[in-house]
Amino acid sequence: MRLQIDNVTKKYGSTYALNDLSLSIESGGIFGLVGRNGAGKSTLMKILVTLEKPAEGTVRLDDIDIIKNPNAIRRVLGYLPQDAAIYPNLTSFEFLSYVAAMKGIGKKAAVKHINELLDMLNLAAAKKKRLSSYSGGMRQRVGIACALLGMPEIIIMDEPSTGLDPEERYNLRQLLMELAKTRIVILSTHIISDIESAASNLAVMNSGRLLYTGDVQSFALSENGDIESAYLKLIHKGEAR
Amino acid sequence: MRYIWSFARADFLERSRRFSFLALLILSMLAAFFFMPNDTTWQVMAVTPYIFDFTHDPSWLPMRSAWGLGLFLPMLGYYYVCNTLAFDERMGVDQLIRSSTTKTHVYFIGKFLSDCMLLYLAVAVVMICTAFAMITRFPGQWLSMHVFLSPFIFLAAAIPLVSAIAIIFESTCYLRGGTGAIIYFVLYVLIMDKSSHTGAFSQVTPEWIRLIDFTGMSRLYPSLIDDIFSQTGRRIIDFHYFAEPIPYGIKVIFHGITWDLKEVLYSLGMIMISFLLVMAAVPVNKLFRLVRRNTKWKKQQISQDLPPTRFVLGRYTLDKIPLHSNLLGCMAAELKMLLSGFPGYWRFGGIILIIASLVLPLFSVQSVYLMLVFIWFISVFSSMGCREHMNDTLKCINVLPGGDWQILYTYASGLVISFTIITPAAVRMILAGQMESVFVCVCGAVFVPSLAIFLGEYTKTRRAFEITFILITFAALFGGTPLMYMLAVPEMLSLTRAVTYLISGLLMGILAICKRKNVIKKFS
Repeated sequence: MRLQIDNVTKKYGSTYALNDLSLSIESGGIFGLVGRNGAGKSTLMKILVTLEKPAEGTVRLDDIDIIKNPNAIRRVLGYLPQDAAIYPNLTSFEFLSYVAAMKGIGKKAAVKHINELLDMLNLAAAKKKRLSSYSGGMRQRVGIACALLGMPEIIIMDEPSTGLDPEERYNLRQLLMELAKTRIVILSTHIISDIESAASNLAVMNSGRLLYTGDVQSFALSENGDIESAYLKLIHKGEAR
Repeated sequence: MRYIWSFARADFLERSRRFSFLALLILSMLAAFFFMPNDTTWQVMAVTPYIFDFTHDPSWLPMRSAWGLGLFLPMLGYYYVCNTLAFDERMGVDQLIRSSTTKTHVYFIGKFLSDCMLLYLAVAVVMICTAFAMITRFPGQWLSMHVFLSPFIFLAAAIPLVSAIAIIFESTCYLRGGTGAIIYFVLYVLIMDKSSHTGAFSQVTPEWIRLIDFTGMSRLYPSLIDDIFSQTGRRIIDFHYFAEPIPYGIKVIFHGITWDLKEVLYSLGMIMISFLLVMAAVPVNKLFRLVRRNTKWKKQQISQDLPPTRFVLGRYTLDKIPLHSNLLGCMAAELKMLLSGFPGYWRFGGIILIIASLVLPLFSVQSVYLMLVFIWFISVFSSMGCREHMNDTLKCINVLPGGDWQILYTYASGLVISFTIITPAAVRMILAGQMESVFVCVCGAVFVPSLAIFLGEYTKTRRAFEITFILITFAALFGGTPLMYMLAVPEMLSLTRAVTYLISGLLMGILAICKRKNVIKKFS
């Protein structure tokens, strides 16, 4: 499976959120997306999940243009937005059942699958409690469960580790690494260490442009293995241009 | 005092800059204009005997616009101000205040003052509009300050009580939202019913009603009755709404509302009661917070009691689960969603109300009962269309394979609930051979969820539907026959009206779906 982004441009008023961006993402390993606030990461993700349309350019999933045929990606997509939204009056089980029905997962399969996901994300004991009583980290895990429903072939997560404690962050990384072996997993984050320990490829963005794309190891090696220094150097260099 | 004023001022500035405040002003003005005497079309207020002409003299303009305001502002105003504490909790302002040295009663009085200021501002705007209407319709005919101002003054004591009720309802977290709205509506109808008979007619109104009459009608009616009696020697025996104007009726003039010491004391008593309610809201709020905190603490314990993370990937299936598009499954999920989150007593009450239409007199069911049952379900319908916007879940839903048509599933589920409400009554009508009545009920049942989804999708808030629907029901119950969207009594029904409601309902449903699907945006 391969996502091919070609010459994508997106403008909000006179500001470029994405400027002639081209990128290729393949299954097998987590793809990390890093950059400052306002670099265009979220816009790129919104275009990939068909919430936004680019002004120019194409996005292809294998040979299918997903701008023209959004359902092609929706059938294989799991998405976690930046602020995981929930219905506070539902329990986690009810909420996930609702999303499962909308995704088209059969009722029997959904019950088994949701129970497994809740167990996997350490929410099983609280599955009958209303989401309004959940802590921030628990809500985030519900959002993650929502994205993983149906174990889709493309998983796109915007800041998934927000609100998670170190142990849960580790668990999530392990899970995503396992899933990424056969899937496309795109991870946007501000936490460079998450990228360092989980991603195999990354893209660094600034002001809607791509500053770097390639494997994480080579990127880190450019600064003697210190990925944080490599990132800061690249960002400042990009700014100086 | 300085703290109270700071809270009141900040809250007033914040809320008076919202679009909803503009909507409140517009609705108040419309209510006032709606009640002004007009000799070209039908008039909204009339009295029995139906022999008086109110259209020729400017003194009726302030009186009738104040009357309209008195009928609608206590209701509209309550629904506008009743979310102030909840808003602060949502925004985190509440935590800032509680962690400071500010006393809770100072904060509550500030909120109360701000609520009063907002509602008084609405009255002031209507007064200015009434003055403009007088200048344009009766140029050169000036009124004394007493005639112009006295009808509005009766609202001065009513507004603090409305604000105080809003504060105390909010302080008990269980009377926020739908439950509080329903209780307030019932209270409002009861007080309106009692106060409408003060000083007139066969019914004797208890004096204490004047102490809690936040509609002000118990002050306005006696004055009006006495005024007309002194001019014509005829007694008004009843009030009703919606009538043709009388071109050659007895011309009467309004001389302003007379105030005696008793009235002044009643008004002061009302203000005192309002203040006491606000003061009582402080311990009530503390008590309910304590109850809620204990419940929350128990819930938090659950998360602490969770077993330590046992993350073994081999235990779980990570294979893709096949997806099948399933319309019925999506609809069932949406239906479940619409009915979720309500307490058990509400569900039980709903079932009892629906079943009751099997045994109550058919005439009552066909005239007003069904409309009242729909009020019980107002919170179900009001979440239609706006739920995704309010919880910001649209971006999650839109990327799901079935998410594209989610609004259609919501609409269909709303229709299912609506039809379930009318089914027992419809069965009785079918058995009685009243097929036209069944058709009227079906049209009404389509209209309610359509209005809900339309207002929900366009305004992105529950309030728009709740206020509109309560106003429609209220106006319909108090004689507004054109607004009786479900009047199915064979002798009184109108097929033209039913079809109008059906078509407008379907149109609103389609517009809501088009809005969500961005069809309108694409065309424009």
